[in-house]
Amino acid sequence: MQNKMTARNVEVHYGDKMALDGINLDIPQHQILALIGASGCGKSTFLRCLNRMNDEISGCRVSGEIFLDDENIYAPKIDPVLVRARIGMVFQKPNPFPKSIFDNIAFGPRINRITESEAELRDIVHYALERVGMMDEVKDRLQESATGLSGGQQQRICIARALAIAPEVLLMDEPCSALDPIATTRIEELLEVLSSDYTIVIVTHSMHQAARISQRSAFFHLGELIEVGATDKIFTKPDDQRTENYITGRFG
Amino acid sequence: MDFSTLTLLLIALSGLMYVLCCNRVRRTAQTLQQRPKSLLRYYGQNAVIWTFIPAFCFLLLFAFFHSILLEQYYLHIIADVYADSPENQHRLLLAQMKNIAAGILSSEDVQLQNLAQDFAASETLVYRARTWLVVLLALGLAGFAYRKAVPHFRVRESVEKTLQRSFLIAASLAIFTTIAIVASLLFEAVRFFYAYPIFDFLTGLHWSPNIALHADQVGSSGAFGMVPILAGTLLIALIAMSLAVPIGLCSAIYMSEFAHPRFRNFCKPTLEILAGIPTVVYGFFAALTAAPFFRKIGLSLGLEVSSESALAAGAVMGIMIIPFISSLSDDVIRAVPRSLRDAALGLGATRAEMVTKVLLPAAFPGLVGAFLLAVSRAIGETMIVVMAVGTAANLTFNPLESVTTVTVQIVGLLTGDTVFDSPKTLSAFALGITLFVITLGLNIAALALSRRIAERYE
Ligand SMILES: Nc1ncnc2c1ncn2[C@@H]1O[C@H](COP(=O)(O)OP(=O)(O)O)[C@@H](O)[C@H]1O
Ligand SMILES: [Mg+2]
Repeated sequence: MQNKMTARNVEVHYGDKMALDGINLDIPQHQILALIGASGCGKSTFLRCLNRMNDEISGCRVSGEIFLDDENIYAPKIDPVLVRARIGMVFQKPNPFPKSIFDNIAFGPRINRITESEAELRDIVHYALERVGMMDEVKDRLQESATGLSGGQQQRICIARALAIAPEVLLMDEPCSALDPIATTRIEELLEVLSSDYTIVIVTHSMHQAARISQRSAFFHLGELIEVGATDKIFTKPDDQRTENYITGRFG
Repeated sequence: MDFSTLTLLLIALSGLMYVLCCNRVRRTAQTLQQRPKSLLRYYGQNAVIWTFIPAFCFLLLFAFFHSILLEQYYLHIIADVYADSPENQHRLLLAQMKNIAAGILSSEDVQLQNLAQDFAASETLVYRARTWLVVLLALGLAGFAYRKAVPHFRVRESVEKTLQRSFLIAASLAIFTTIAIVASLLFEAVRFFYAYPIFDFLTGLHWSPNIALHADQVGSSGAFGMVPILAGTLLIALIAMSLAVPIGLCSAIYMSEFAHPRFRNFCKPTLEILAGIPTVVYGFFAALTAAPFFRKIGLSLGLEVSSESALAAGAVMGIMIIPFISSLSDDVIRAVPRSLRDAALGLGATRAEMVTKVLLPAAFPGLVGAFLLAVSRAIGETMIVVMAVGTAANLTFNPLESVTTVTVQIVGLLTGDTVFDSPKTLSAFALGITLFVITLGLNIAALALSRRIAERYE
């Protein structure tokens, strides 16, 4: 299996405080990788390293290398804005812009000048909505505000918005933690479908979710990557005692 | 006993009642083997409320009203006794009588001396009655509270209700004061509109209140048309806003989105210092520095610039408003959630794109609200324009000429020797109420807009 992204010796500091310590992790193409671990262990921090969102946090320093295909996205000549245009990100709380549904999804293509023609833009928006299975739900109200949708719909709009920039990788930080079980199920089903075309990294607090949807899982503990491997193995016979404790709920 | 002694007495009595009631509840609770329904200190507080508040309120009311009532009473007597002297003399006589009673003045007039004696006597009597009443009221209610200090009385509810009520009173006091101010403005303005038609006031193109002092010219001359001064006010506010909005907004954007934290920590306090400069200082800066400066520049360009140009006053007022706008805009921009910024950046937007395409549209209603508040400040601003702007009411939109503003006119109309019920003076109240209505409208609109943005992101 080919690796889409590779992290080598990634270290992150917030001011003087170390948040991640020497992370080495391979992210295989067209699979779902789940990042698990207790709160504050650095999962979100690592996720933000993957599309250089940490650059936007003042006081945050990242060292090490992360390769997207064969290119080090932390090389000096790389423009982080262009990196982010290749990687989609979905956040914990649904965060649609206070604009129409159409404008939300068209935001990325417009910003990145993917197309100049209105017709193509419409196609892109429709395609993204199809992919998240929302075309039928919203096709008559594309011009209505996205903030008026339900939480689960908003989150799927956010996923569609990320897909509209045709990303190679999709990063998701606890995308279901603000949603009810039905909306969660819909998103999980959606991720399974998407994983055949996209490389997905998802942070989750739910063991069941990780077990249901991911092929590989990585367990973080206090800023270190303890163990990574096939999800089946991590959940049934982990190598490390700390992983087992976490899985079985003995701490965290 | 005078006011402060009585107050001290009340405080002492309240303290005593606090201790007594607490003790009584504790003792009865012990003998009856019964837990008090509320904490002990609430019984004490209840006693304090009953002992202190009604008696003290009575004391306050008495202090406010007794002299008025007493004087009214004696004014009637004087009116009877001096029935043949003209009515406007009566107040003078009353004042004399009071001074005689106080021993400041002596008089040959036997009638007045007698009256003064009566007055002094009734004053003493009234004061004595007050003291007794206060003491009796306090003691009586203290006794009532003491009797109620029993363990099974749920005293906490009643104490809390009293607290709630006193907050309500405090709140309504503020509202009541505002209403009272507006009412008095309105009252005087209505008197003005009896002398001068409201329609002419609102639409007249000519403002020269000094001519109108002569009664025969009022009404016929149309000298109270407020259009020129309203236009002048708006012109200056417009100049101020067109300077302050771009600078204030850009500085707010820079501070919140681009500046290094260390730079921001230096700049924000600096801007706040700018906001703390007294407006008189801006005023003489406008009059002595800015106005001559603009005049000189104008001359070198071959333009005629008045030495009291609207431009100078407006520009300085703009400088004064910059920190106001920048700090309000900063609040509004910060209220846009971090998650929206992340969403835009995560899609490959640059910071500048994020600001122009997401932040500003999302903050737009709030920003407009902030600007409206600033306009309302600019319109109500007084000191700068009083010092830097003329009093001649030219109807012009040329910023290089001299104009006048509503506030300048109000100051001019009410300072110096004025007859209080001439149309000239009363017109100040009409201007005042107009100013009030305008700023009120602006503030309400601003509030509605910022509500809208708050609702969107709660
Ligand atoms: N913006 C920040 N500034 C300072 N410290 C941070 C910041 N974000 C995260 N941290 C710290 O980094 C550590 C990892 O946080 P995070 O990556 O959010 O953990 P997780 O997502 O696993 O709960 C925590 O100890 C947290 O306090
Ligand atoms: Mg997190």
